[in-house]
Amino acid sequence: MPIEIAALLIVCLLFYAGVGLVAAFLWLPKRLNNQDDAVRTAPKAVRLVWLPGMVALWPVLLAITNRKPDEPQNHQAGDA
Amino acid sequence: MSLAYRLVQWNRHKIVYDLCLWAGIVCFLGVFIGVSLATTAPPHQVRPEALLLRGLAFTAFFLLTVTLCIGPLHRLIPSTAPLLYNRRHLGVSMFAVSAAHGLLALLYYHGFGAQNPAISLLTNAKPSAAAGPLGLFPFEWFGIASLLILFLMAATSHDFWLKNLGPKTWKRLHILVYAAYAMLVAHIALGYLQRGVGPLPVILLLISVASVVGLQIASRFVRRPSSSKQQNEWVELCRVSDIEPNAAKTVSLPNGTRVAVIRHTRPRKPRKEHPGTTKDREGQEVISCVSNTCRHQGGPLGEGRVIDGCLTCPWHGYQYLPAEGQSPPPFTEKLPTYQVRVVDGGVQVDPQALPEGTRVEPASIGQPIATPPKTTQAPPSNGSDA
Repeated sequence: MPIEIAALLIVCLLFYAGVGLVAAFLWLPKRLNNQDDAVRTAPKAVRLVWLPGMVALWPVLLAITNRKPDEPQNHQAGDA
Repeated sequence: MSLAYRLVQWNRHKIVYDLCLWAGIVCFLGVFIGVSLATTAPPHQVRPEALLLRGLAFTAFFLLTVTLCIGPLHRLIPSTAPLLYNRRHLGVSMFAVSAAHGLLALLYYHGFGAQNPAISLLTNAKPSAAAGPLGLFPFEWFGIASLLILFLMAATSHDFWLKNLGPKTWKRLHILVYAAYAMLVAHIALGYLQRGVGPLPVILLLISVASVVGLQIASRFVRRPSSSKQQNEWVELCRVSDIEPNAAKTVSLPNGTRVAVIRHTRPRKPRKEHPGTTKDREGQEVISCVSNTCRHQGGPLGEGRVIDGCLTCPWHGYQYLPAEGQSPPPFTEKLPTYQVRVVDGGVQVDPQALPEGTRVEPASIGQPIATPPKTTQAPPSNGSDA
């Protein structure tokens, strides 16, 4: 792989992770507090466990927190 | 899925399991490095850090193979349920070992040059002419891709993710483990072809692939036997106060069978499907008991909670009506149910499993049942009407 492409890949990855980190600290906690009651009472250490996933999946989480609250989530929604 | 999020859902069984697992990993690495050093002469001796790198790779691949074999193995041999029960811990441990292998490889092979190690990894992974056409694709890239998938899976191995992603999305994400496995197979096979590190990796690879594929195929053709008859004596398994409201607890019967004791509220409707429910008893706290093993992939139902009146599996969100032991329509999954009664605050269960989907009247918490229900004859099944 040419060094320019490798460098570009690394920069893109770091940018994505950086945005994810900002999202994990600034936007997502408030949105998740509103969506999931158990988040509010979760200990700080548990939030650290969620952090890598939030950094990696922040677009998914943002989409989920924008979802309508009555959208089915369980077994009844379909074959999981 | 617990009522409140906890860092790790540890209980006594899981602590013992994790201790044994990590003791096994450390012992294996020690033996691997020790034997390798002892059996090679100094001119051909590999450096200890390189041996650690290989040992971590062997361990991670072995753990991934075991993780993939547990599901089908449990379908074939139900007594392997404890392995399945702790699969999440096994998977996260496997990722930790894989990540250690990846990090050590990055530092060992790319950490001492002038280039950034990550850029060096991507640019210096050279094709090997000796491997022919198969050498055109650097084997390291398969390892990187596999590690990324395993990272996503480990990072989302918490109830928070199952709940917020939803069972469907979560399952789709975690089914990628098979893609990660395929890429690891390619990583090892190409590594062997391009670097030629001896026949051992290829032998282990073949054993692993044969085990995973063979068990998956075999489990499709074998039906799990239905619950066998057991002795008919009521046993007290726990106290009502041990179970949180709208939650369940995993307990073991004297014969070792695990059951989920559920504390829930008597359904408010529809009454015609719950003939024992009169209006004045609606909303009462009651106890039911079903098999602990989810019909989907053997998830521990005793660690689930009651959502919308249904016991919800903590793994993939499969749901069961506690009294009926079957999924709400239109779903058809059924569980063995157990007669249950509450005596002086103690939950007593008849160890004889009833046929799957047999409705059992839940035991009221506030009104201990003085006369034990008849257990020699199963109550009429509600079949698919529930």
